[in-house]
Parts: sequence; structure tokens; C-alpha cells
Amino acid sequence: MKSELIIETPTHKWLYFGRDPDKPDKIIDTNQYMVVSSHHALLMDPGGIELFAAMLANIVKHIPLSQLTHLFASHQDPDIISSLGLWDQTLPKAKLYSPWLWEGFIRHFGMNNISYEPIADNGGSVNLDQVELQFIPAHYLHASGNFHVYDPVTKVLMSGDIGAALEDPQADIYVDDFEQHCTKMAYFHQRWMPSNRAKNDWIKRVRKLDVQYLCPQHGRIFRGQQVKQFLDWFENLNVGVGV
Amino acid sequence: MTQHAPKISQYHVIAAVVAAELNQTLSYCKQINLTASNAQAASARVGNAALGFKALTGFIDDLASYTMKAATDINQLAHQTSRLATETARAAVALNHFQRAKLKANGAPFGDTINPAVAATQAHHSKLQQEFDRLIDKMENQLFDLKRNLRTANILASICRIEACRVDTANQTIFNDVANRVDDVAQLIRRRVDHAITLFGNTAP
Repeated sequence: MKSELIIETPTHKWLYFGRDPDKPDKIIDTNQYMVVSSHHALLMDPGGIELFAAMLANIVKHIPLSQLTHLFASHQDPDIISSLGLWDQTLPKAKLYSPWLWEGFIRHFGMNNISYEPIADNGGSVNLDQVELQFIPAHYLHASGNFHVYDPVTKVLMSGDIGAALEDPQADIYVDDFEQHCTKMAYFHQRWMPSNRAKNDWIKRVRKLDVQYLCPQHGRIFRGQQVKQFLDWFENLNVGVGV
Repeated sequence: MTQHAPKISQYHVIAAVVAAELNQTLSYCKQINLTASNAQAASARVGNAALGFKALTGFIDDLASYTMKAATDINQLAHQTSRLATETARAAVALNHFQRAKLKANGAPFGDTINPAVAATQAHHSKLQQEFDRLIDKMENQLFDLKRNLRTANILASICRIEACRVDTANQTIFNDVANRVDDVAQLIRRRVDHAITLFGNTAP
């Protein structure tokens, strides 16, 4: 599994994990992100059971496990959080931040030790030492209760399934040719995202933020001007085409 | 205990089948209860000649109640065993994943920080296994106890037939029917219990 530093400040850093070569072929490739502050760390969308061993092995290349105190699940899908039952035995004192709507569902993955910290519909925030991370509502994109994580200092937005692309497992982690990348994103967004209204609400919300890195859970990371290009592209895309 | 004990993963299935077998037993117990009530009504109609038989109906009732309670208790144990088997399997899966993670993390600066989680899960797993073995033993013992107690049914049926001889021919049929019914239902229950015992891989005594 690849792990790369995305950005670092004096107070914290963002790390990327993904492109696991040992991943079974038929499961979708996923990106995991971790924010590390001086004494704590937040792992976002930790991934499925199949990825757990690789994730654990890669995390301890960067921090001691005792530093991983917070987990975040943008929604309830298995590729996001089906590893929870294993994290529950690894980090019994950790807190899991996730939409309030999914608590009763996510607990089916097995959660006897970790505490569930429900995020209210209008969002919220969490502090890792002096670093504040914001939970940005992204409901119906695609799950009915859904959040992204925004860091106003590094200007990183972890955007869950928004910006996702169905990619080759060996692909680079950053978008290079935006136009070409759109062909890998179109079907995913049209089929998985159910609502134009929800899409436009999210775009309006995100345009107000200063985003320099848009980090989806599948595919590649958008940087700088590509973020605006993505928002414009998404705005013009008709979604919910399954019916 | 069993001669060829199945693996914990197989106990998921065994516990579910045992629970299903004993559920059937509960409905048979209700049939014994009903038989005892009918016998009591019949003996009241016959009068003094059936006093001995009337006393027997109480024993038939007691046997039904005992069997029902034993089946309910074993059923509960089967459910507990199944839950515990799930938890044990989860801990075993976690240990397997930890093992893979440790191999992948070979040389990682903080690789050793996985060890406390491994140790805690190993301890939890051992505790679960011990508790699991205890429950399996208990369940097997209770099944054998139940089987032993079911022998009383044959004795009761035989005494019923003796008592039947004391009453007139018309009523004899009723009392013999009660005896046959107790025999038949006890036989059905015994088959279920035997099947449950066989599932544990043991030969019935």
C-alpha cells in the first residue's frame, strides 16, 4: 500500500494511504486519509475488512498506534467502515465520528469498545490538539447522511465519494490531465449520486470554502485550479440517471 | 466430553440445530400436558377404581414440566453458545489480521505498538474459548440428564397399563391410550435429544 504526505504545517500533516497491490481484484480501490497532530490522529474512511492489515501496517510506519485516537466515517458503506469490528479490537478507546443517521447501521460492523460520536445534520467540528477540523454536510451525496472533512489551515477537503473516479489500481494519486480524468468520473457521479438538488447545495457550500486539495475516497486528488474545474464540471453534470 | 469435538465454527451450526430440535421438544411437552389433563378428567369420571391412575396423572404432569424446563434451559444455552462462537470467531479473525499486519509492518518505526492490541485480543480470545468449552460441556450434560429422565416416561406408561386393568373394559381403552401416548411422545422427544447429542460427535450411552 502506498502512503504519501499530502501537506504538512507546523501543527499537523495530512497523509494519504491507498493503491494497495495486495487488494483482492474484485473490490473497489479506496483512498484513506489521516490527519496527524502533535499527540493525536484522525483516520478518515478507514476502509473495508480486506484492507485492514495493510492500513494498520502502514499507520505504524508514521505514528504509534496509541496516537490514533479518532476515526471518521463519511457514511455507512462497507468500503468506508466495514473494518470497524477490527479497529474496535485495536483501538478500544478511540472515538468514531459519523452521521447520527447511521449509528444503528454502522454498529452492525461490530462495535463494543469504540465510542460513537454522532454528527448532527448541520455538521460540526473536532479538535486534534490545536487543529480544528470541520464536518461539512454532503447529504445524499451519495448516502442520505453524509459528511466531508475540511481543514481551513491546510485548505484540504476530504470529499468522500465526490470527485471519485473508477481508476486503475496503479494510477497516480494526483489528477494530471483534468479533461481526460473527467471520463473516469462521469459514470460514477451520474449513477451513484442521486440528486441534482443535493449536488447544487453541496457545490454552493464548497464554493464558499477555500479548497486547495480536494481528496476523494476513490480515484485521484485535485489540486489548486483543478478544484474549481471540478466544481464547474460537477455543476453541469446531470446526476441520478439510474431511473 | 466429545470424542471428536467439532471446531468452534461448526458449533455455530450445531447450536442452531440443537435449538431447533429442542423447540420441537417443547411442542411435544405440551402434548404430554394435554394427555395428563385428559387422563385426569377420565379418572374423575371413573371414580374410586381409578384412584391409583389419578395419582399417576400428577407424575405425568411433572415429567412434562421437567422436560419443558430442561428443553428451555438447553435452548437458552444453545443461543448463548452461538453468540459466544460468533465473538470467538471475531477475536480469531482479528488475531489473523494482526498477524498479517505485523508481517507487512516489518521494520516499521512504530511496528511494536501493535503488540498491546495483539496481547489484549489473545487474552480475550482465550477467555472466550474457555467460556465456550464450559458452555458446550454444560449443554451436553444437560442433554444427557434430559435423556436419563425421559426413562421415567416408560415406567409411568407401564404403571398406567397396570392401573388400566383395575377398571372396567370401556375405560381400560382410555387409560391404555394415555399410556401409549406417553410412550409415543417420550419416544419422539428422545429421538430429538439423541440427534442433538449426536451433533456433538459423541456416542450416546
